[in-house]
Amino acid sequence: MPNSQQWIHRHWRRLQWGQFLGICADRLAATFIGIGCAILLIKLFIPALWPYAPALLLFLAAVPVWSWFSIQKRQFSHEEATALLDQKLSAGGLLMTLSEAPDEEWARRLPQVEELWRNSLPRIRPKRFVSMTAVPCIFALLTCLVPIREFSEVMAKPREVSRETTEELESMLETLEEAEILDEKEKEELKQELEQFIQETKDQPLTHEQWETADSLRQQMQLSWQKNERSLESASAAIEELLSEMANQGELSAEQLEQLESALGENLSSLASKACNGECPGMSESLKKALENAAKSGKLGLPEDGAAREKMLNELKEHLKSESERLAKQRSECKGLCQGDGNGQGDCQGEGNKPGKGGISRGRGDAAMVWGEESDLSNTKFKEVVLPPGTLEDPSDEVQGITYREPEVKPADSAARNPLRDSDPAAGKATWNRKLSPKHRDVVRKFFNSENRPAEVPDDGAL
Amino acid sequence: MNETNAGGLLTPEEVTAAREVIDRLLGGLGRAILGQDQLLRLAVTCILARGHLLLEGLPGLGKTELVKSLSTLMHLSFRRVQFTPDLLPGDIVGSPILEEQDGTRRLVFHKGPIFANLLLADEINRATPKTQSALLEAMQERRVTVMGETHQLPQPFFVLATQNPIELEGTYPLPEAQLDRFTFKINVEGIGADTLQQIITKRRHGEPPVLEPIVSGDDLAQLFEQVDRVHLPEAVANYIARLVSATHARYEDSPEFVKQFVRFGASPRAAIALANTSRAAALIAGKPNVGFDEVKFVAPSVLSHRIILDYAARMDGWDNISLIRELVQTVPQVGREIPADVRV
Repeated sequence: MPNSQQWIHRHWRRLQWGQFLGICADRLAATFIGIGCAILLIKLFIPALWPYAPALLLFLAAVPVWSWFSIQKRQFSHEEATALLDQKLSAGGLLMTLSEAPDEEWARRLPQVEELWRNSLPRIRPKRFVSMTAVPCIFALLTCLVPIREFSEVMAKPREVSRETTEELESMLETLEEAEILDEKEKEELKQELEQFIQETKDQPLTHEQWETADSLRQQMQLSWQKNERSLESASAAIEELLSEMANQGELSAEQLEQLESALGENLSSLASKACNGECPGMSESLKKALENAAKSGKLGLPEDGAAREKMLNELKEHLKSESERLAKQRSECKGLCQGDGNGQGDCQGEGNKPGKGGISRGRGDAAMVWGEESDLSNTKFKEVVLPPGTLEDPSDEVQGITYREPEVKPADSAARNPLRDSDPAAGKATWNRKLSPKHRDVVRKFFNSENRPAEVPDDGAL
Repeated sequence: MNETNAGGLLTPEEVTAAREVIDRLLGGLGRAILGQDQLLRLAVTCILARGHLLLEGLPGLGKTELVKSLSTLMHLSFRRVQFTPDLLPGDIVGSPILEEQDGTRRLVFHKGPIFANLLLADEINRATPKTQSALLEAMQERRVTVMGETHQLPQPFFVLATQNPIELEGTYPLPEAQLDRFTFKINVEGIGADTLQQIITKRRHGEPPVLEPIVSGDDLAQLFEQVDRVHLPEAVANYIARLVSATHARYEDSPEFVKQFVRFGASPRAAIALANTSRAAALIAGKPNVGFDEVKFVAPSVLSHRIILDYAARMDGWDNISLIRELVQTVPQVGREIPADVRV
């Protein structure tokens, strides 16, 4: 005879397993989806965490344990399991009854064939479990195949640009120092500003203001360079003029010669104080002395003797030429100095970052502005209208009344329907209403409220 | 073992003996009322559960005859009261009459027709509410109180009432409290052509067959005792509780159609009646215990008159019986279903 209690217990266990599988499948599916999303998140946005991604598998291991503990709280009661088995056996409540009140006589009325009991037990359905978890599991596996997003180029670009800009500015300053173009004060100021800029932009993308600062520094250094170049050019031109005058005696007046020498001294004064630090190899002592004079007084002090004068000028010419070549060479090696060359001269290569030439770091913000292509005025929405004059037509110079203070005018009284008040000269209302346009009334008010108003004012304000 | 099942399970022999008596009773009723097996079974179930029965149906369907047959077969005292609008409570429960005995006058209580084992309240909805309410105490407490004096009614005591669903003019619908005291309300349906043919063939003038008492008073008392011993399993009790709770719209697990159409659900008295009549139905079926099938069998008769539907229900074609039948189909027998991950 089948042991009904044993079958009830087996039935209860199957129900527990079914409940466990159901909850576990749901939670596993959710966990797989969660893990897949986490992997995607890590791979696409936080690739640095990818080495720790295997830790996500711990969640998978925790799900069955969690599910098992969950079903303990809501497990099938003995009565429920018995009632379900009773239904399957079609025992009409007898199994439930015998479970609560055992009776051997009635127990014989229960089904006696074990096969019936066995068939009444529920069977595990792995298909449902698999179908619930398969798709999320495949999703999680597929996310593992997604390549890790390369952040170095994209994210580091702004910082890279910032670093390049800083290096470029440093390089420019270094070139200026090597070329001995800057004086000590300029050098110190530029150094301080550059150091501050470097501190502010360290490992950070440049902000709009920092771009402006960088441009300002760059422009400042380029201007110094250009100023130096112009001085060299002017000095060379003056030397050429002087040599030419010497070759063609009497071509220039004495005043013009003096102006040329003065210009040469001024141009050389800035160069002389920096050039070679007074130790230029191969330079004659007389030229060294002349340059020192120029640096001190702004006057070169050319010899009066024609031969010595010509010799010094030729030597100076050669010196300026070599100096110019040296600077041109340094300039061509310096990227930043080339960028500012708007006239296209020099040996600079790579003009891609020139304003308006499509550089990647800047747009056309500092490109030259073009005027003269305004739109046709006939298509504009607002037409020009000639406004009426600010004063009333036909102004009269007649005195309407004299008052020490601003006329008191009430809007209601000032209406034209009160002709008596309008014509009352003592009140000054006629003047106020008829002769003063609104903007002039403000002037009147201002006058009476100012210090210039008469000190003695009668109560009624009229004279 | 729970309290309600005290006394142990019925033995198979006891169940068999009870079944024989009940079968005899059903057989006798079947001779009197032809073609109404379901009605007879429900009526006997109600009697065995010691409940009161309300029969509703068109005239001529055998309602009164069924009650008379029951009283005859069970050898019970029987009184019939034809309810009319001018019937007074005293006409039912009795009244004190001034009598002179040995030269002294005193009020002597004269028992009314309610002092019988089986009271047939014919066309009960024709009496006024005042008269109808005279039955309230009798039906619940099985006693009557007149002028401060309480009189016990004979045991067993049943009220079997009839009412006509048509001819509603001049009637007083039974109040809810009164309806709730009727264990069963059975709608007596019409009979088929075969049954009609049987009736006109066997009963030329419509007279019922002569019946002899089949069930003695002792037999009936023993049947009552056996009904009480029918086991009600916990799971079935839980089903009854859920079923009755589900008739309430505010019950969170009640079906949507109940929430939509039911204004008031069944009372706890309905749950008690459902359990008792299920026990009786189980004994009639020859079982020592109640199963889900017995509950489903008696549920429409127990619950249908105890719920009040919203007007929207009638607009949508629902009535009490159809709603309870739908509810019985909807509420699961076991509170929890077999998990989807196991297959039966």
